[in-house]
Amino acid sequence: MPRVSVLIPAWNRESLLGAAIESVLKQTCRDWEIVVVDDGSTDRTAELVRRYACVRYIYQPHSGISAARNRALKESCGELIAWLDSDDLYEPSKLERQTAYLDAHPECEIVFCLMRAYSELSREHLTVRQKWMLDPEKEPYRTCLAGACIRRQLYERLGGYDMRYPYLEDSEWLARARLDGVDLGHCLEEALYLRHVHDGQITFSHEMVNKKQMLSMYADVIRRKKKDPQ
Amino acid sequence: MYRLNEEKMFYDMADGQAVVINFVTGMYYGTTMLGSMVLDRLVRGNAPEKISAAVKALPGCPENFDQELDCFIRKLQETEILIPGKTVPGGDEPMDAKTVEEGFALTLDEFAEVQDLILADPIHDVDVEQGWPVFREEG
Repeated sequence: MPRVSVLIPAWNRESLLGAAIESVLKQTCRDWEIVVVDDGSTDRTAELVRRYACVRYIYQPHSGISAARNRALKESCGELIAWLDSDDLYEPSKLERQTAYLDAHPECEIVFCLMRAYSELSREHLTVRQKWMLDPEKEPYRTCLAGACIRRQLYERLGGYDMRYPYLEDSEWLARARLDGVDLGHCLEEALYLRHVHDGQITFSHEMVNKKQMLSMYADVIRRKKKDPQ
Repeated sequence: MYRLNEEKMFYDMADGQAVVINFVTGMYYGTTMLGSMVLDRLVRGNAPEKISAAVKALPGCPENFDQELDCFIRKLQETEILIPGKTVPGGDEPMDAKTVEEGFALTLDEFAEVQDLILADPIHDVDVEQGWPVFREEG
């Protein structure tokens, strides 16, 4: 049984998924499985994944990111979970460094790493937010599920992703973890996860609407924890 | 009378429990069931004396409830949850007896447990309909 399950939920990502998979194939740690959950892609995602014999490919009708993540958890078997967004990359030593950290810190249930954003776009094509993401001077964002390596037992205790959230599912899960007393402070101070900043114009809800929804999500998690402290 | 300080505060009420999040500091606030009901009416702009009348109609209400309410409002102002606002009629609608299952205390508790998550959480670059990022090259 592989030690690490690298889980890649994907939707219409034929152009970038190959690079993501190959960044796992280049890992110095070799004890992994890769599971791609295709959430009803209509492009050639399936064809692309099938080129990699070592990758488990699972298709499901389009159900959203939470459903894709939960399916990936269910279909995988490693004691450690590492997520990879289908358009991002791992640095070659990511899994080795994180598994070594977890071995050295048995009390740690989740270890993060720093992220480095990169883009092929020229600066004039970037949005304000994308420029901020690419700014090397900005305070690094440590508590991001995408770069984390997580003991599966934590999912067994907390449950998977909340299907009511078509997005914000990762933030909701982390909030639940924090309120359950999970230490989210373990972080390797190295940029081991590479976040791809895409084309400058995206379909996106207005910032304030998204912020309200985010805060509403936190309020809901807080309320549920108060109602059921166990 | 009062209104929510929307410059800093997010307010959410569901299942009889109010949650206030200060999205500038990342702190959040909770209160009792009665506190939630009272806060809900204060945020609406209802006058404290009307709210007090509704609570006093509940069996077992202590005689010093007005002092409890004044102290609660003071804390809400000190934490900048409430700021002055227009008075809105009402606030004395009957309250369910369940509202005082936890008693008549009006507490305001402050928590920092998810402070760093609230402050650091980046806006998710996703399409709200799809729940996945959708980029121009696909549009």
